[in-house]
Amino acid sequence: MAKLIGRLLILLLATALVAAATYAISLNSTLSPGGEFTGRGEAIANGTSGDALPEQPQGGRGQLPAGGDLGSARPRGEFGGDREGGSAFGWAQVLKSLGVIAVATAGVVMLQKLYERLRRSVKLTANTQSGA
Amino acid sequence: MMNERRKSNPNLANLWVDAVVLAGMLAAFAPNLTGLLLHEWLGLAFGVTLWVHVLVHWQWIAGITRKFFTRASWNARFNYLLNVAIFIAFSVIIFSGVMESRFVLQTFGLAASNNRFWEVLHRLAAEVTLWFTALHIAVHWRWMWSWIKKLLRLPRRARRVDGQFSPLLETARVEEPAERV
Repeated sequence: MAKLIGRLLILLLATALVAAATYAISLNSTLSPGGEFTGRGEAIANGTSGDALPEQPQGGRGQLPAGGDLGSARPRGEFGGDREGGSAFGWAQVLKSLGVIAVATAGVVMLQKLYERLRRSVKLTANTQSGA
Repeated sequence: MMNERRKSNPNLANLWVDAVVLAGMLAAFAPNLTGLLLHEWLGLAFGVTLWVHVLVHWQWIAGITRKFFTRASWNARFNYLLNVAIFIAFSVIIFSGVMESRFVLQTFGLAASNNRFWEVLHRLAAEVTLWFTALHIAVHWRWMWSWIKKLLRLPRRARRVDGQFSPLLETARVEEPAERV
């Protein structure tokens, strides 16, 4: 049990390190509008009422502000703010993931077969030469 | 002897854990299929299954870490670095996802960051992770295929012996006793 807890702590520490590094990069990122992570929790801790939410983009929740790099017509992220899924595009995403896995596996299999064939031919050549 | 037969095969358990992790990953990488609400919670749950996957293979990780600069083979080093890259990439995905989440943070009374950086990072990290994970699966394809064949009771191919098919191997029945799952 102690071992398991120790391993979990190591995993937690590693994840925290990555998160901290990512957050540090976000503070220096050109994409950042200068707005950092805020929430009602922090606002309450600061003594305010906590009702003032971070500035929301125009056009409702989940949409990019006008003039965003991805175009004002495109909703926030690729999800379109859709709570429920089930669209055909979703299955296309699954197929895309499987396709990437298939391509990578095919590539590795081909490389391995090529390497084995090369090694076998080198061995046969060496045997033939030593036999002669 | 009966007790030995009934003992669960750790490789089989590994395969099932890996299958669950893969299924979780495919679902988490398809937010248009699951919807945003499920995508966010599934992403967090997938992070947990990822930790389980790492814990299951902890001994290998610890072993290679100890001898990375000394006795480890190049194959093992490549695998190790690939796994580290995957761990970092998945951590970035989950953290950036939490930072821009709508439903998960709302549950804890927090509001998502208005920083587009998290959205861009989340998508970029997802693409990179997909390719790294595909490579990870590809590198272990032999192990997975051998176990899938065992589970599906597919016959093994006759092996070459000195460049020729061995008649002995070709005619030998390679049926293994049924394993209890």
